Amino acid sequence: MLGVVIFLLMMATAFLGYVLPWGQMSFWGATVITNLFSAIPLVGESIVTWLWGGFSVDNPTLNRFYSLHYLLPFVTFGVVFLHIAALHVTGSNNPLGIDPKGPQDTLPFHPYYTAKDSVGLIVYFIVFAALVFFAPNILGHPDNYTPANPLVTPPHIVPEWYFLPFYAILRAVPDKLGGVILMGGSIMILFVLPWLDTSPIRSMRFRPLARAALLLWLVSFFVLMYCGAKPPEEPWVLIARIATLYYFAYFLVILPALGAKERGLPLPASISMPVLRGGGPLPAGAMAKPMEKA
Amino acid sequence: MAVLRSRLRRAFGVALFAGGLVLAGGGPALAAGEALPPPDTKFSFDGLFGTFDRASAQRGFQVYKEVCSNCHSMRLLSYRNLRELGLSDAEVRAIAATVEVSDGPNDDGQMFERPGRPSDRFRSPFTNEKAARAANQGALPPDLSVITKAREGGADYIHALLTGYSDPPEGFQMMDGLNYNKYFAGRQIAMAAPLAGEGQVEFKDGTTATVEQMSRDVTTFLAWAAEPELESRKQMGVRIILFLTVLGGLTYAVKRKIWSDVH
Repeated sequence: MLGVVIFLLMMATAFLGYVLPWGQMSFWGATVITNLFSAIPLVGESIVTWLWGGFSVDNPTLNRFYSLHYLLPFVTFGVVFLHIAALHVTGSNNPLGIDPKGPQDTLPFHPYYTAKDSVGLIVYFIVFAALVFFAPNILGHPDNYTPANPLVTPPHIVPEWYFLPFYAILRAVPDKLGGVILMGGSIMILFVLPWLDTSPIRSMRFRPLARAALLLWLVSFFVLMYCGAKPPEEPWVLIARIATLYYFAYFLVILPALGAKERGLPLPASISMPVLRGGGPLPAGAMAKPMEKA
Repeated sequence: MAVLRSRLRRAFGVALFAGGLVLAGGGPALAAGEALPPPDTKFSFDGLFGTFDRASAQRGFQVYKEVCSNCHSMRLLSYRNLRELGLSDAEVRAIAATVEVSDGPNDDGQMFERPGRPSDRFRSPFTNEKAARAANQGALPPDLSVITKAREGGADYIHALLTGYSDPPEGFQMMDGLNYNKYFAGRQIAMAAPLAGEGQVEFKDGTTATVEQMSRDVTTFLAWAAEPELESRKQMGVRIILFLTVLGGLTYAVKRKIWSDVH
């Protein structure tokens, strides 16, 4: 759940940062997103005025968004610490979803995972560098190179690519308040996931039905992302509605139902059994090695 | 994905425009209202190792100075920036000195005019937006400082737009004061064809000033203006990707070695 908090903080930081260049898309994105709060009954309008520091998105809004954009990463950093502390309470999960039964089932984080994660990190850096150095504008929007102008609305306001699925959910609902609730709910639902997924089996590897449902959920997520980039007209609204329906059905109907009904595949006896083919002995010096190196 | 999005957005804009036409009772001309996607033009600054063709960009500046700058400002550029295009100090000084810049207030509290200096920003043709609109039948000529970044299609689009003027096809209903351009959203643009014919500009290096050539040169100049860091960015990128590839190989070897006693 702390992970979901980190996710929300990241989204907020990203959104606040997108406003800072103060281009057309920044300005109108800020207008659209802050206006979502006006959907809240009774206090909505007041909240929006309070967020803006005025009666429209203007300089005070920009100032406070700048401060918040600077502040939230530190908050995120703090929650990351809580996240690590929480990890030391429950221990980490594994792809098989079964508890370790002895030292042959675990490895020290360093050097094994530091070495392995370095590879992934470098691969990520390569992709990142390719974008930064050869296509810095590909994920942006040309309209943001036009300075913010409150009098000219761009014909098609789109959020940054990573918000597109949620934007599609928002637009799939004809009612403003309903759309805001569903968009917020699409993330808030992750908070209650532990109670929705009632299955005793922790890994999808041994739940073929749930696994198929999860993959379909991923498909619906990307379909929503695609619809979010499209103009709000048919057939995209219909497609977005179907995908939204499945997005929530997966959490609210399919997961609880499968948790009660599905009989999973047999679980392996221990982690080292399937991974090392036949249990395997304790890896030579797996526990002692890092100490020696230090 | 960006290309895809651009297509969609353009299609959407056109749909809106087309919708407007339907309401206005212009039914039959609809299909003709759709803007064409700009053709992919080969520029010197394309690709992983692309650099700006300096000669072309210098000619492009001449086109901007003699044609575009009558209406379009480039507020983010200073005359000294032109040195990056290979112009000498003396040339930049001479270019800056050709414009009169408002400065002041002086000791008497008066604003005064003085010749431009290399440190001055490009002089804007109009003092404010109202003046610009008044001189252009209500249309606002956009600032060109970052125009290749501020339009879908970038340099390809600018080049296509500048060379895309023609007479409207039979039956296409033109609004008053607009010009037909098949690459512009809605195909009707307020700007009259800026590059009208061969020899409009006289290039010092003897290049024939065809419309195609002038457009290509000024597009190169505008691309440079929008992304002057492009060359160093791409060079740095090539080096960094090479470095990361080697580093990635090393980390993978280390990972294999460390995990060898587990698997």
